Amino acid sequence: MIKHVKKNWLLYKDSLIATVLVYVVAIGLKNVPFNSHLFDPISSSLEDFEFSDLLYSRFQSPTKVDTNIIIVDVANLNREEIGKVIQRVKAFEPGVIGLDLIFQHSTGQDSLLVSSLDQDIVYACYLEGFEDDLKCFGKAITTGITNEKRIEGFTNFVAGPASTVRTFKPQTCYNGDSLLAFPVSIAKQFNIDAYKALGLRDAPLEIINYTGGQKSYSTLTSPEALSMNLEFVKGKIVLIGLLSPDYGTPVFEDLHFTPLNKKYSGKTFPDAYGVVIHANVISMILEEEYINKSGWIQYVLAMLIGLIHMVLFTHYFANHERHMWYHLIAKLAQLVTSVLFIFLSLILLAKMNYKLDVTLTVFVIALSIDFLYFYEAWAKFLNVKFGYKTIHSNE
Amino acid sequence: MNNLVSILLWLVCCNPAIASIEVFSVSGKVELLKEADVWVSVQIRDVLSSTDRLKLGTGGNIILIEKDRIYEVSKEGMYVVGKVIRKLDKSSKSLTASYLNFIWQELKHHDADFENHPEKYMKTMGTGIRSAYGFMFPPDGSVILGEEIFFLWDGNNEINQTFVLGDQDRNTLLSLVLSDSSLIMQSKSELFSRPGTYYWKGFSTNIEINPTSFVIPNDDSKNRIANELYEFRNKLDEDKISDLLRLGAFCEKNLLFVEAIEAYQQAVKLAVQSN
Repeated sequence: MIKHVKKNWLLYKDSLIATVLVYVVAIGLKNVPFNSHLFDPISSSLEDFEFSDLLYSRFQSPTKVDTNIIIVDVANLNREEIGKVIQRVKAFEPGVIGLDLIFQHSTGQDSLLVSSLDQDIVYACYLEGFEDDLKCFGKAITTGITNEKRIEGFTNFVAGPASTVRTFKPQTCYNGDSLLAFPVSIAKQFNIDAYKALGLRDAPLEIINYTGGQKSYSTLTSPEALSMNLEFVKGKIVLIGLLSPDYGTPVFEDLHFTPLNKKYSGKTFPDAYGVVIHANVISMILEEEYINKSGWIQYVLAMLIGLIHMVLFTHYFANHERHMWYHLIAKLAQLVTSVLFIFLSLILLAKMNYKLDVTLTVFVIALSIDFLYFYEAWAKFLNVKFGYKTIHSNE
Repeated sequence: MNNLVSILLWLVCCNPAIASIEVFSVSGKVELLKEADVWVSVQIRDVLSSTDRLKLGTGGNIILIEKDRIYEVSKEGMYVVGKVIRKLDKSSKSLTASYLNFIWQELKHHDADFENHPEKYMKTMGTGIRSAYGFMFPPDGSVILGEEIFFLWDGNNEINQTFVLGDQDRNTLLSLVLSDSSLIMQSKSELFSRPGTYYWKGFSTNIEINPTSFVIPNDDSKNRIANELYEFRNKLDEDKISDLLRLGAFCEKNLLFVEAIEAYQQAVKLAVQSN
């Protein structure tokens, strides 16, 4: 009986120490300022991938639709024609118009366009010249063909030129003042309460809870916008920007990668226009469907799950009778737990808008077998040299 | 001990001494010291030795080949050939150094920085910009030469250019991102299988161009033009300048630019000979 208790105690002690070892290394690899993907070509191809992307790219069905937002494509129109589209849309009294296009310089042929622009429109701008010491942007590319006082919002995405747009910054510093993001400015004009709810969260960076791609919004081509009865835009948000004229032919201007991309890893093609991403952000703000991100829970979870696995592995590894099952059990446990935890994270995201980062847990599970071997070798060495009590001793 | 001697011998024997050095190209004032105070111009294919002295004047440029490597010197001054090659050798990064530098740069990049300093990553523009008007060449659209259609517009080549081709209803048929503000397409491609009017525009974030149309003629009009051209050529007096000019104008009007240029060239040639 005493021997059994002693052996169990050694099992838990050895498992705990090995788990702490693997945990420290996993946290180190996850958090030290080094890019641990560098030496792994598979990881490199998955560098811009998160498990939560699976939800948006594969499992989000049926496609959600937001009828509050209508997108009008003006990609192939000249300034005069864009002016005509804006005037026609305005005639049907939309709630807010967001112009996701910057007319930087005057061309001398802008009279119709200028007459269509007024202070009720939310204008897009692009911020440049971030000054590190002031933590503020100093320059902006804005529509310069009209001097009217106007509402503006920045359209900078928090992403590299070829990386996935997953987050947005609700506001930032521009010339010492606070400037709202373009979709936040529009949401503020449309529904002040929804905007206040965003403000209460006080998050410097928000994860975009994607409603869907271009098909989740009513879209109008420019001929439709100029000829159709647009009664349905009354009181709605109308975004004027650049789209693919049909759903098949991509036009490369303002086209980005999002988690909605059907091909979510490796070499692929951008999938969403900037105006669609803005529409998704607006939908999220209006519906107050924010995603909360796991903080310390991911660390506790990784430790607990890592420990359970290590106890199981050590139990089979150190026992001579059960050792023949060790490799099978260990690999199965690694596979099943990883799949289950990724599934759990998807369920939490889909049902509760909670983003549980399981990367560390999966990392700990994956490394645990190697660290068990490492710990076993050291424990045996310490046992021989200093009489260290371990379940791995040859006694 | 034997191994050590072998290594030393190998190091001595295989020390990369500078082999024959050949002049690959030379421009501007580049001179070689032949004797005391006697400088001669360096010519392409001259073979130099490592102790030769070179003098580069303002704007002078010389490219030397030694083994399979090239070395370019363009800064004004006096040089000993062997020394300058060794110096350039050291300044060019080896594969090892480049790889280690790459590893270091990659290691420094980490996702954690993205969340802590998002502003640094806010460089992706989520909108379109319509800036200054650009121009096409020719001003009314494209040039069809034989079976090729040339598209050219003024654009800043440091920025990616977008080329969009549309049908007569301006539905986009093709959209390309280019690193140049010109494009050549085959008129016989599937895209142009239907004769008629097509629209195109080329633009970047800084340049805005109105879409412009061009016409792909159908077979009937191609045959008609070919017949008219055949008749024109039959009646043509190839020694008469005015006839050649009329032929050139006919071809130009019908977008047969190659034939038009040939006719005009012949007319100019005749005019020069007659004078």
